[in-house]
Amino acid sequence: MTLWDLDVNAQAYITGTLPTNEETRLKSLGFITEQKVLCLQKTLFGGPKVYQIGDNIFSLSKEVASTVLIDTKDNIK
Amino acid sequence: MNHIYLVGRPNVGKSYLFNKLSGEKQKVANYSGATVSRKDTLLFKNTLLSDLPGLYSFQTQSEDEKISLQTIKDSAPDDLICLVIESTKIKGQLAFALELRNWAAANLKPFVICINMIDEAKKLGITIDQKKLSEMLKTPVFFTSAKTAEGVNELYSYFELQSWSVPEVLNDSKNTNFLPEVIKKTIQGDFDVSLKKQNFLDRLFLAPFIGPFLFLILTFIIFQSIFTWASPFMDLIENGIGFLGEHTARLFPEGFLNSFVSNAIFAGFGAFLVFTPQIFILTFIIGFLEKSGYMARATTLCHKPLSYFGLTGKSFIPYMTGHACAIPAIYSARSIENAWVRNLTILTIPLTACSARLPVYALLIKILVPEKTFLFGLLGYQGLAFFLMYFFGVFMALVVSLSIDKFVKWSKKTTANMNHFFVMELPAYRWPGLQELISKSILTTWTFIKGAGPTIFIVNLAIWFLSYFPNGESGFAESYMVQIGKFLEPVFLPLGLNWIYGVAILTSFLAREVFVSTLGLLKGFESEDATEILSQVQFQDLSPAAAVGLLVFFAIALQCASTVGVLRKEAMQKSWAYMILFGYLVLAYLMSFITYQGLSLIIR
Repeated sequence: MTLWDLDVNAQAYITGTLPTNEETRLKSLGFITEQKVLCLQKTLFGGPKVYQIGDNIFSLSKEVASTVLIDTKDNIK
Repeated sequence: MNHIYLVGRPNVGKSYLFNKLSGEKQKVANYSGATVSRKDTLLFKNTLLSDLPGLYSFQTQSEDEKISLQTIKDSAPDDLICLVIESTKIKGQLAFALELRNWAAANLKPFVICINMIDEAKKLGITIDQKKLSEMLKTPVFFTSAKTAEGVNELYSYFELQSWSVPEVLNDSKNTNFLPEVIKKTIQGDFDVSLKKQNFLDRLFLAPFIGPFLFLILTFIIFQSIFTWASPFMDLIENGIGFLGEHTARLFPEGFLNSFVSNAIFAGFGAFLVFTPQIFILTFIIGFLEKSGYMARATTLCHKPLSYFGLTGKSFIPYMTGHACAIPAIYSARSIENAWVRNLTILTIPLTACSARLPVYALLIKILVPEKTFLFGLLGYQGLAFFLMYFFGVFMALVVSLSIDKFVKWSKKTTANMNHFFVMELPAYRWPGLQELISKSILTTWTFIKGAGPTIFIVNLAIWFLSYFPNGESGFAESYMVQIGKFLEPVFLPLGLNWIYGVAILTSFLAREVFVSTLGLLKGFESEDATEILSQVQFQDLSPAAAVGLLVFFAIALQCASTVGVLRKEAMQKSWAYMILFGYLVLAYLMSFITYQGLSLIIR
């Protein structure tokens, strides 16, 4: 399951990122393993979705959000 | 000369702090990319304070980030790196703080952390143990609030010391538990509280249907305000200049000096001054949107639609800024990560309706559209026409962007999209300070007048000279200007324009706003009162079809020498600037020709 698949108001934990050119960048922004993530909003026509990562809020396009792997809270540990 | 570099993520208040420390009035905004290049100021004798563009990590994506990182890497051993962190988002920013701190330790660079906006953390009940954090990171830590000036003097005093310490190597920091431990031991408070208000507003402004609807309403209000709300102030200035011109000209006898004062100075430079209320209002509203944090949301909303034209959501801010002036807009495109997408944005910015086009639009809309209002006088048809002209500019920019993108990809036989990577940090909503907004708008308006003034004055002087000589005011029909204009008239006749408009277009290639003042000068020589004639240009020599064609011409043609100069510097290749200059001129002529000829068949 990737971050893009997360429904609005649903939360999950990051389990990893796919090896892309942006991987290091995403980690610097806080997209790190075990970090809690909450999907706040989706926008019209499949535009970027809004996520709360820790104390920051980001909007991510589908191409970026699909490289972040997640698991729902219940499946962790 | 020592340097102190203010570095950190966008939106952490670096520029605000820079202004507070130095007393400068640099542009401060609440979106990433407000500072697009390094800004220096002399803080003390032999010490420069530098404000660097936002930096997220050592893996840079955009041009402005590269500037920041390279500057730090190239810094001298005695230079101080001051990392600015936002207090309410400290947890997410400590990872980079640790990374940068360790780099400074390894490279023997003095390093200090400044936790800014501390007043906001206090309001939300967030507590940060300054002493403990400093001990655990083995780095000096300061609390500041550029807004309330809290802690600014302490930071200033530390800068003044100049005996800055290099951090020790932290062996523990390699342990994955180190950072969570630092956070646990030094930071307390419910960070969710600070995000609740932001999330509530985001659910409104970014909602699938309400969000875009509010965005369109907001955009419409902006353009209404430029025309309808500015009118009383414009009338005031127009009447004031008319009064002054009339009384000053009376001081001189009929002849050379009288003509120079009334026709070269008041009818030319004065006619341009009348549009400053519109420039002020536009700057004020753009400033409000930037500082409130709404711009970042608008960027998110626009990403998907703009991606169909080869652009990204981050092209929105340069496009919006382009409505004030193309030059800062071109620089602000540096925050776009992909070089090709940035190039496309830069090349199409000149098509957005910059404030230099305002006088031309205002004049032509005034003669084309009745001055009627609706909705209890709040909205007007002229304002609506203005909105359509701005919409046309954006529409042309998108069409041209798509065409260039498709053509270049076709010629290189590639279909790869380069605008995929879109990550936008959404800053907290903030209520902008009214005083700051007003002073910034006054400064921008004044800078605009100061920048355009000399060009307008010289062009007006040259036109007046060519129009006055060789036979004086009474011999205007034989003047050099009439001779040149009539020689070139065949070029403009297919657009429905006589030689007067042809000459005004030619002079406007130095700066668009010269068009109106030139027209005022040329028409002024045929009447006693230039200002009166300028405000009452009727369809005697300009048909409605030709006026619409002229609007189209001005909406497309790139008539700004300064913009071409900046394009040469910022585009992927210098040749793009000249191709665009020539291409937009040809496109403007063709579109104007089609508009005039097409409308002439319908409007008789």
